[in-house]
Amino acid sequence: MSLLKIDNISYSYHNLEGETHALANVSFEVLDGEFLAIVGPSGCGKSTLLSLIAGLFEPSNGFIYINDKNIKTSGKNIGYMLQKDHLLEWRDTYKNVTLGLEIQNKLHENSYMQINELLNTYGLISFKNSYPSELSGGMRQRAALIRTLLLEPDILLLDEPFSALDYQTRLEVSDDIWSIIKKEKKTAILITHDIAEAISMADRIIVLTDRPGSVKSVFEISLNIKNKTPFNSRIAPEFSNYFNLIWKELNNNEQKV
Amino acid sequence: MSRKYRKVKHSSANVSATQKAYVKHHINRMRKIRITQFLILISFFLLWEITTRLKVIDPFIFSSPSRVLKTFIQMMVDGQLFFHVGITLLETFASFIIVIVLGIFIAVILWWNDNIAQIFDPYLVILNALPKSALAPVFIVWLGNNMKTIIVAAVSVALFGTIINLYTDFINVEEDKIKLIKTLGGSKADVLFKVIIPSNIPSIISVMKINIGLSLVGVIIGEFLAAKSGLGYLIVYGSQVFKLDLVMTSIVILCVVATGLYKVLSVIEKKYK
Repeated sequence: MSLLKIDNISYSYHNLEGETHALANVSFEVLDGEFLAIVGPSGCGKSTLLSLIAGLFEPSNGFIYINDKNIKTSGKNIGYMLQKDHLLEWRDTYKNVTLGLEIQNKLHENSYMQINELLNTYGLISFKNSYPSELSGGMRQRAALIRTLLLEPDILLLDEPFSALDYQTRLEVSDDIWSIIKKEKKTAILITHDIAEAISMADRIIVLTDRPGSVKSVFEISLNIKNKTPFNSRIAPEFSNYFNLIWKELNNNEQKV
Repeated sequence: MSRKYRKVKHSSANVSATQKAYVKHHINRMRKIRITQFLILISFFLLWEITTRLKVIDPFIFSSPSRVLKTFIQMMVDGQLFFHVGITLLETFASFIIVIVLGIFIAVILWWNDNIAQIFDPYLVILNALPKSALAPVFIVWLGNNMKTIIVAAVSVALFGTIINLYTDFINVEEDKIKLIKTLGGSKADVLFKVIIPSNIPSIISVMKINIGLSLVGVIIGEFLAAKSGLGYLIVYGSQVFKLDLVMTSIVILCVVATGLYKVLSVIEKKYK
């Protein structure tokens, strides 16, 4: 069943120098429980696409449906993870993960159980009263994810959530976040310019064209490995084939410019 | 200072000889700086006292430390000291609080509505650039020869800079932090109370630190022109009747008061860091 349906959307930014077409006629669907990755050259409107899905602004043309309902009426059931964790420095871990609940007035007596459980499962319980500066990069990302998950979103949007991390932490955090998302059975859309990251995490990859971005090609990823984790995926035999395919697809793009 | 020494000594337990030497060197240097600072103070007062005693400079015009001390003790005994310092402090605190509350409030309004901010921008620039002492005589005519005038004068000195500073800090909060609140379903009020205000606590405190000084400047200007009490009044009155002992004593007290106010805010600032 398709959970999210993007129907022929376009978007332009306006300023006094003129108009910038960011997206043109983008259409695709995301299935329930699917992990979709979107790759594309920088500036092709990937982040714009997520902002549209999150309802931060409206498409110039086209529609977005969640569970067959237009996004305007479907409510705020979308979780968005930004490029950096953006934990607020003046709040401790506990106050940071409850920020979303606090804003939506959903912080009740019985939320505490669930919060503690999540903190415990993801190794943050003993850092409950620590401030963000005392946490490692990985812990910070996990806290940011818990902050998003507590709002029980139908879809998680990940906007290059690992790009601010160093390479080693990045691999660890990808594993962490991926298994959390799979364990909580969430649908996720990951935006990245790192092809390897996309292949290692996603079930399906959409390649966007240069600006104005539109869907160029779609790759179903099926890797022949046991105990799939993003890290294990990297040693799958098919991994380098996919890598070359997508690499070529992206480079075709750039030669056109 | 003694607290700092203790801290250093405490942390230097069980460390290498070179580290100990380094810490010792540091402590020595700090001690030398303190001693030199103290010597400058002492020599200033000594020079002042001796030159007036030897009539190199006229003690009637320049007063002298011993005369200042005598005046000070006399003012303590007859209670004048507390009265005038009290009045000046009261006016300073009143204008300080008005500036902070009004400054934050107006800065929030400007942040909230970009149109309002753009419309009032040139007026804020003019009001900030204008030397506010030029307004003091106008305030006397409008408000009379009283404390109201002094407080309004002091508020006018500090307010516009405060608004401009806070507004600039408010609009410079990281764009993604605002996006975060929106992705969590927050409104503009949530952005204000969850991000803009809390992330600007340090800048609000540093603005407060500047303002306590500016408020005092404004109050003294006000008291020069429209007062029957307060340290500013004592200075003007003393100079008019050639009681330079009174003028100098008031200035010395003013030094202490100004430093004290600044120190209080420094302590508050440290608590929040």
